[in-house]
Amino acid sequence: MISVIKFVILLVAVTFVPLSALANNYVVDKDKSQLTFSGVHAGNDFDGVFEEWSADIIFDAQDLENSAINATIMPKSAATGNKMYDGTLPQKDWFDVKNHSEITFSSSEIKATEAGLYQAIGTINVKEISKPFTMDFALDSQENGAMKATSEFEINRLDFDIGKKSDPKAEWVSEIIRMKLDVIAAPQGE
Amino acid sequence: MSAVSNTKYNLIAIALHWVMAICFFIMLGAGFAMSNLEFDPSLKFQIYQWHKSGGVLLLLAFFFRIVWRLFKPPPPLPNGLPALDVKAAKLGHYGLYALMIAMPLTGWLMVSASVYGLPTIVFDLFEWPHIPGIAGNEAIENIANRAHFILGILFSLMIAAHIGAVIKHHLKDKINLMPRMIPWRKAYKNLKEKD
Repeated sequence: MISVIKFVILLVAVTFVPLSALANNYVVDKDKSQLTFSGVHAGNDFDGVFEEWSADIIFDAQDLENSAINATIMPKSAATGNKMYDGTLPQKDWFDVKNHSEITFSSSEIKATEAGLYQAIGTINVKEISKPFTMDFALDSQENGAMKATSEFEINRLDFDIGKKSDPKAEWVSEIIRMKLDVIAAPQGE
Repeated sequence: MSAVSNTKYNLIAIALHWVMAICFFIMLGAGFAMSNLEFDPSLKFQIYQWHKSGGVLLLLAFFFRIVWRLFKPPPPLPNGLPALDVKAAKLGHYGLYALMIAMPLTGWLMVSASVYGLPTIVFDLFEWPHIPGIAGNEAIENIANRAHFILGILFSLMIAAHIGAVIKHHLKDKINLMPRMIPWRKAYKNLKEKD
């Protein structure tokens, strides 16, 4: 009789536990993670880092259907170390941080492409302009169940009206901005 | 008739005149080059930033020069200048001073209204603020840009006239004005002062 009750409880549990709970919630280790950008201005390379961002990561390689990545970046935290650039980036024609405080990415699908390589397919939103976006990333297992995700991708700043009036022909600032992502995240509770 | 009067500008005024004159040549040259010529964008960007920095310093120098002039008036004009020339000289100098202030002000207006939103960091040392409330205002930027250009041409012409007048007085009126602005040149004697 007791084994029957146990079985019923188990059955109920399996049926009602949301599927997403099976995938792991990952917590980003901010000290070891970095989101950087780089481009060319007036023939000179520049690079910078977004100092404030966050990501909700639910991931299970065995359950990609219920895996998801949602990231929020604060454009006002973009820092290049160059006073001229740092003074310009928040301005209206660039990030316009007064009116648009967040850049967001949310995935709608995560696919495995090769061993250790994945694609997050979703939408990126910059200055209220949403574009479909696919981010390729690689995953490496770390100690204690943590994962390291790395990704490099390009953004065309003109797709999001960044510097649209100042430099629509990219005579000063390259239209392609390279992004680099290094994230270390550990499953929640570990 | 008075005793021999001081016919030289004072040393500070002389220094301001020549240092600012050299700056004006560099600024006008750089201004025309960066807005009209095609060359290495890295250098061009740098010249724009130097030009903005120079404009801030010249704006500050202008105020110092005006205050200095109020406290230490220039020497009287030499005798023998035709009355019309005295009037023209006065008008010319007012014009030069007006342009000395109008140039940096229109530049500042243009930079403040620019859609670029680039800050002005004076020779990488300190940030000079933008005129508030006009950031990204294309109408103001266009007017200020046009004005800065036209005034730049006018300033170049006025400087040419200023130099031309010195040459004219030297050759035609036989009055050498240069010692007034050169510390080590012997001052002429102005026996009878004009006003």
